[in-house]
Amino acid sequence: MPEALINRLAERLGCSPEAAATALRQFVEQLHQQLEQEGQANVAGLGRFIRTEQGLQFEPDTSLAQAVNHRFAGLEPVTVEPPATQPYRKTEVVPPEEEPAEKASPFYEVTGEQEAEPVSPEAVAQEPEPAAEEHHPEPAPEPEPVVDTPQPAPQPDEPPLRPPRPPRIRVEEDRRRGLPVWIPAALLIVVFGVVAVWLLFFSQPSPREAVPPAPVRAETEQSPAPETTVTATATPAVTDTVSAATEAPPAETSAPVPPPTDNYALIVGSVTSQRAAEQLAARFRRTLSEHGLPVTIVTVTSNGITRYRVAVGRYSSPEEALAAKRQLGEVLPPDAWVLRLPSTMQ
Amino acid sequence: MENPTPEQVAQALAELVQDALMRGESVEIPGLGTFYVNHRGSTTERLPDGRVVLHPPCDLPAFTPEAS
Repeated sequence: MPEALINRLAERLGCSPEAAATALRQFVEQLHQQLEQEGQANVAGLGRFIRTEQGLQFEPDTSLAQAVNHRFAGLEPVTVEPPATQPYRKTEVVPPEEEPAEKASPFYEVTGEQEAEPVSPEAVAQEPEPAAEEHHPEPAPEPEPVVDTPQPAPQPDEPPLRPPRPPRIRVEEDRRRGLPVWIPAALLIVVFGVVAVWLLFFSQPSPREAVPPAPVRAETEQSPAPETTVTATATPAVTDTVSAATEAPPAETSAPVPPPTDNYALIVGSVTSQRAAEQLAARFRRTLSEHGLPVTIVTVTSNGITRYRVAVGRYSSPEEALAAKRQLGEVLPPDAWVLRLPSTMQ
Repeated sequence: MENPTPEQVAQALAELVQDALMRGESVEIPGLGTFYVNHRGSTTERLPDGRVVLHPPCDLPAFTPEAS
């Protein structure tokens, strides 16, 4: 028999522990007797004991159950609707009633179009106006103060009417802010792509025009050196050019005679046989007859191979010759180059 | 009070058990059984119509009869 229980019981009953122990024993015996006779026994403030086949069952009294459940008193079961039937709206998350004056101000400009929807501000604004109109005809001297008073009145009324909207508008604003980030980026990419393509295609002609001078000059620098030796050593080449010059006269007589200082020419063809060179020269004389340019055959021997070059025109500088080539682009072959003729040929 | 009546004993016993259970202690009464607190956590119950019932946690008084 636990002493703590007996002591506490004795304290409550105001008797000695021995008397409390005997009293408790008697009480338990009475309870068992009642259970055997009636099958159940009720103890006030504690509960009901029921005798069953499984053993002794206990049903706590409602007062005992409430006292024991004091930590969770007042909690009731809550029934929650399924999520599908309860649509989620963002406007319900942000309570618009809080701080209406501060929250409403940033959205005034946005809600400007929606002013027509709430009828109440208009009604509020219209109500004072008839009063003002009524006042107008009657008192002639003091219409201004009456008119001024109704105007400020609707303004303080407006802010509290707006707040319910802000959350939804804030979401729309976010979307508007989000869109322009993508559109300018895409546009920039497209513009850059177009510029890149344009540069790729339209910048090619200029390099082609810029590149030729380098090989031309290289050739002009190379050619004079061997040709001076050639003309010095190989006299038959000079005779050939003389013969070519004698053949040329019919064209040259018709064309204006170039000044002797011009020693640059456009080479339109370079062949190894004289006949082919003459045919080429005849063809260019025909096509260039309207331009009045001299067409001659220049003979050059280098490395034991004699080349007959058909030269068109006479120019004082390679730049001039290139300009002429650009002008005669459709008549001359694209691979025509500028050559400095040896001074002996002039 | 040397000889308390059974009604007094029953009332004192009920108060004693209630105090002990409210403190979360278990009480063993010789010849009868043990009273203790049975704690149940919060539970959710799904109803057949899709609704969900949230049951709060609770402390229940419980009794285990003495093995005779």
